[in-house]
Amino acid sequence: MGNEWDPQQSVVSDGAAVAAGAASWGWNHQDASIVSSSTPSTDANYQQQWYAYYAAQAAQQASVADNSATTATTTVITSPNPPPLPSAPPPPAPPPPLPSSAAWNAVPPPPPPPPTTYGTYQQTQAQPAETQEPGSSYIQDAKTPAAATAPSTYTYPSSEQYGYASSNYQSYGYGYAQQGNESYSQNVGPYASSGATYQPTSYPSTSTYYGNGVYQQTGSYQAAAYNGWSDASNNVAATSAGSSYYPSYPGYSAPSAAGTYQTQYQKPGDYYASMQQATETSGPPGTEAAAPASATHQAPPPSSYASVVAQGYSQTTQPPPPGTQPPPAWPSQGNSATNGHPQYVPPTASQPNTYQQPVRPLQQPYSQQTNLFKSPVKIQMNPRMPQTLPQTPAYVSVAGKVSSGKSLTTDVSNAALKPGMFPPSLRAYVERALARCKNEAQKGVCQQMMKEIITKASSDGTLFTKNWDTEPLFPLPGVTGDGKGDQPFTVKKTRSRWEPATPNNDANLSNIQKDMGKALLLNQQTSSVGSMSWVKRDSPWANKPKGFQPLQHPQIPQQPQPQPQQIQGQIPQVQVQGQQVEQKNLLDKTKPNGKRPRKSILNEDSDASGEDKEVPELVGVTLGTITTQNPEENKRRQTRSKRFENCKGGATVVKSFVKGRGGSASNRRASALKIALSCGDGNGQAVEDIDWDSLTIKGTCQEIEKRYLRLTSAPDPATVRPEEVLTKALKMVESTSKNYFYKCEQLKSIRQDLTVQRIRNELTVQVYEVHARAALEAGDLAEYNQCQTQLKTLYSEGISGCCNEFTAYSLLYIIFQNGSNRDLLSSIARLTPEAREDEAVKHSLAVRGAVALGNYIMFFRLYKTAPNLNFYLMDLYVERMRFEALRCMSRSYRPTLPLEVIARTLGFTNGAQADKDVLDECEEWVKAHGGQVVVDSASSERQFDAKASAATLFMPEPEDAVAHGDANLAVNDFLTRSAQA
Amino acid sequence: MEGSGGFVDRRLADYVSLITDSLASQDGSAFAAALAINATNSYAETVSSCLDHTKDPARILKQVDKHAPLGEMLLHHTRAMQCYHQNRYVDAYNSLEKSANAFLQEYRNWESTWAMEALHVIVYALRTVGEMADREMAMNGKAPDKLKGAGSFLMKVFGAIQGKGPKRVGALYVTCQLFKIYFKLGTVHMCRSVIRSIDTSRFFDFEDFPAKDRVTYMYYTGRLEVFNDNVSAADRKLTYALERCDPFKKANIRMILKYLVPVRLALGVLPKESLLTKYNLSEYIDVVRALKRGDVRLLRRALKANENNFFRSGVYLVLEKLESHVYRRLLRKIYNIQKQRDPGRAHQVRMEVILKAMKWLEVDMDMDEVECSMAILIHKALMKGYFSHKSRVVVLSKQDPFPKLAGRQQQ
Repeated sequence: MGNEWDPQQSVVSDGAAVAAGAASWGWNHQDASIVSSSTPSTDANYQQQWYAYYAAQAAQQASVADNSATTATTTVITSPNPPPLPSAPPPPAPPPPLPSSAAWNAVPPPPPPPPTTYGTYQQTQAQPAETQEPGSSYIQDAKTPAAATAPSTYTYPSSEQYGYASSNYQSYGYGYAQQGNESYSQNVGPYASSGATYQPTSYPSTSTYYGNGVYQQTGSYQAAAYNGWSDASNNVAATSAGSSYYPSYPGYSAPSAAGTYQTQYQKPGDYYASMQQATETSGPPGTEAAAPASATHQAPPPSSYASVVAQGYSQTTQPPPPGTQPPPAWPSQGNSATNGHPQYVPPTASQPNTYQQPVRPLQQPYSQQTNLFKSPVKIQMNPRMPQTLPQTPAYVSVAGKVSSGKSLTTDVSNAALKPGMFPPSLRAYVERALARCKNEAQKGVCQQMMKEIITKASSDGTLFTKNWDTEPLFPLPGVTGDGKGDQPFTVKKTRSRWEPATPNNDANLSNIQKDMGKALLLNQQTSSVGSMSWVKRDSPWANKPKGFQPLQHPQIPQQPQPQPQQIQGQIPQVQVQGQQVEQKNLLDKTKPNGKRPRKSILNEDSDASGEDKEVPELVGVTLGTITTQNPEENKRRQTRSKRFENCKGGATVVKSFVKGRGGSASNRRASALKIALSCGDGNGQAVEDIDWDSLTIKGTCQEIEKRYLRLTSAPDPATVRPEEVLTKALKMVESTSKNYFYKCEQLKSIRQDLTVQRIRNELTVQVYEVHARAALEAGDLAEYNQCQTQLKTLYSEGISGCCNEFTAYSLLYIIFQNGSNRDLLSSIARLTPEAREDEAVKHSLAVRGAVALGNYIMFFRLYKTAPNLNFYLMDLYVERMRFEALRCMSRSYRPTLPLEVIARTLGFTNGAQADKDVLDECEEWVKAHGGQVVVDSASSERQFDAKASAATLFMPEPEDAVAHGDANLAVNDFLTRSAQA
Repeated sequence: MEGSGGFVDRRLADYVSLITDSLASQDGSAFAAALAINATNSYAETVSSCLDHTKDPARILKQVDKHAPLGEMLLHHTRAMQCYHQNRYVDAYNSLEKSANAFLQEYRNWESTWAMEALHVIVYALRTVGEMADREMAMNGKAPDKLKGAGSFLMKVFGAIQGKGPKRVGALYVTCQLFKIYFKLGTVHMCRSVIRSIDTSRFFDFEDFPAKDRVTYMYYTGRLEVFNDNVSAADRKLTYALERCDPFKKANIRMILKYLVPVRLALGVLPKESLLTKYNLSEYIDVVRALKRGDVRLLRRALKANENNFFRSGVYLVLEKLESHVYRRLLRKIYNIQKQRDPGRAHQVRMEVILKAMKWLEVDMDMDEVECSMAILIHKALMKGYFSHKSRVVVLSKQDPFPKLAGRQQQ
């Protein structure tokens, strides 16, 4: 492996990040593990990796490493150490910790940043502190590790139990940071519980939120946005993560945190006190002490890190990574971990006690927490994080549940953390499992799986209740590779077909690299555009909750700037080029010959956030952003994977959560069902007979903006907006300058709210009309068609709207989609006389006539005079019409036809006279279709050689051809693919 | 039982004995006549009035079971007759479908085809009563679905008799009834499966079906071809229908011509005006005139005037393509005039001339459009030659510049 990696180290390292990102993308942590978890356990491996690592480092140092690199670096540093449990201090799990190498393989260490500026760090740090919630300061500590690992963790939340997810998240993050994938599973257990405990910390803030009453699921936006920012800052901070970092950290971070609290929560006293207390109380040195602390605490990064390091150091058989990190740093860190950093750890540890009691109705805090963790990831490694961020609502609800079950878990996890506390039966189980392994490789995989099992058990509290003696052994995983660990292993896990495909982990290098390239670019994008734009979006909220947001807001614009550049610097040229090819294709699509340029989907976005312009040449990247910001896709996946997760593992957890919380979704569904049943005689009443009116909810949510999430349960009136608010929301969407994906999502959520409240009136029509228009402009035919279908029924119910306009669209749509003549005929026959007099409908009918007769002159004239958005639909047919025309010309004109005529008649020009550019474009197009162009010797005029072309004309395969034949889907296809990368 | 009741019962018993007699003698037409609901001279009226007055029709009707297990069917059937005559078509349809269901079950067991006529009567009743029931439901503000139900039941009938030896001869009738339902409902695509099973049958020659069914079948499939813009196939089928149609059924001939005329026009065959007047197809008269004169304006006007009609019948798409034929005719006229003046240069038609002709026709076209129209003519091989953009001249082939259209398959 080393050989392959070396030459491309930079790529690889990026790729590693990508892989991690992918993992995170992959919705469940197991995927992640698959992706990145190769478990080379041999020394050789390590060395190779180190080698690569060094090379990378060197390269990086040359080009001053950027933030993300730094983050990764941290990971790297820790990971080489084979500490059994990276972040989870006391190896809770019997499974011998796999050599952390997994992390290595998967995530080649991004070049360590040159020992960066402490000063920078501080500065950046300060900002986060201000902006973030209490947890944020921790995050900063956690920063790198969390960031590195976070992706995978993040994914996890998709599982139904949110609390679980979030907790996992943390632990994952840790695991990742330290060891790579392998470690994470072990950590999960303890961390999960810790997550729960931690929440209290953030709690106060949430309560304040509540006071506002404005709080909604949407609220998560804010958090996300902010987190994003803080993340950015974190990254910066991370960059500076040198050995010096830790020592200095306690001092300043604590104050800043305190300050934050004061301004924000007004409970500074409490918090601070608790922190102090914690410091004092939890001061106990030693790994054990540190471990619990980290376990309990979400933000434990420093401590956990330290502890890990310490452990790793002491235990490591492998030589610690040479050179990169000043050796002295290690010991010192270790020390700090074990005895030091008491300040950090304690606060967290102690806080649980203080805050735990409040049962929090609002989930906001959770989302925020998760975000905190996530966001670092997104910036550094995972391009798609931004998308996911906003979706936090899902988490939110979960989080609430977690807290209820928290005490139990905490205990368990704490217990689990202490090595001696494992039930003997579990140990026996592990021994049994390991005994089956035939070689090192298998063992590695086996251990990993075991970690998962145990993690799960400890997180759902069954660690001690389960009868491990009777627990069936998991099937021995198939292991690919030669056992030397040269190739990453595949953990053969049956994947649900709903699960998004993870990039092939079978060490298909070229594939991976390709994906990396994409992801990288996306990454870039994400950090600059993605997070930014979200932040911006969220701004409406920013003002509502508490005072802390206003404070933070102004800072937002300033921070992002350094990042894009830094990240870009990192991008290997090769990949950029590869990407550019794709960009070009996409560009070609968006910039058709002589067409009025379709409104770029993203233009508006860049308008929305000036920061986008920081990344000038990133058109393709911008497209990447689409991916990132394509919330539907995201959501869909999340929902699916949620489903999947649910049936997979956490069933028990879910149950307990449900028991704990009254307002859960499932409960709501149950009650709705009950109502439904009680409406009738109770036994098997037909669905049609249910009195839907009595079941129709009336929304109470006052939030104007709301993320779209496909309902998986009965709607909660608290999250549904009533009609007045929806009207405002529609206005907001209409007036926003944000991009189509944002609008689309908002409109979908409005549509959903309308539907669940069974509102069918002018507003409904307007919403669909607005959406259909937006979809047309963006070329989203699928969405357009949905709206058109709805509009048809709405109009037929007699609700007024722009009926004629949409009749015109639907006519064009039938014509250009090769709808059957009968459809066309019947829809024309159904036109009312008034409709036939309508300008737009007339235009559509004229277009139909021109198409039927092949009258290209007429067609392109109509093309230029298209009313409303007819133009966008005609656009779909332009290529075909042009080709037909060219064929016609080649057969009827002799000997030649001036190119200028073609350009003029086939709509390449807007005016009468074609200039050189237009002629060039026209010539290019003609040639691309097999036409021959000659230059007349006399007039030096370019001419289409009709006779020569007659036999050579052909319709080129569309460059963006896709299997399903819909070029428009191709973009989505691309997005989907890159989303999976 | 009171006197009138006894009288009514006796009439009902007569009806039952009529049915049992026809069953016993396997008299198909008598049986069919007994079952007819909405035909003239049917027993239906008598039976329904009897049913209005009798108390226990079941007892009498069950007597038919001695000959065939049709008692239940008769019960429903007479109920359908009663409802029909009380103008309760939805109820009539519901009873009728039950009756038809019972009959079909029994009919499956009969080897011979003697009762085919009765089956057809029932199928016809299902369709017609279904239509009426739909109308009634629509008037009452309900979503009409009875005709659709009749459609799916007829598919069942079709399945029961097609491919079943001698009974298959009745399948085409059912197919035609299905066509009528599908065309009425606008679900023409459903015809495809039926057509396939008729067309692909290797054991049964199409010519063996009754002529009236064949004509109907060809008429509908010809219409389908018009929808699909498949002019030559449409011509074949509609011509078949026309040739075999009863010459005295003017209405039927008109229906066929309504589609055949535009199809033939598209193929370059123009009808005599007398034919159009004879069958009251005046909407095509101007179209034909325009084609003869090369008068684009007249064609457009004629299309505009009957737009709705043409759209509804589905011939509009065929007719509008005649525009290039009109241009062709116009150019041919110009060519002939030029030939009279100067045979040597006749094959060069200058654009100005065409443009002038257009102006004269008050058709607003500029040079580009005319050029485009000429290019399309050449492209579609409606005329031979080429267009010189430089000198703005259409150069026609010296040999046969306007190849014969008639019967040629349109591109």
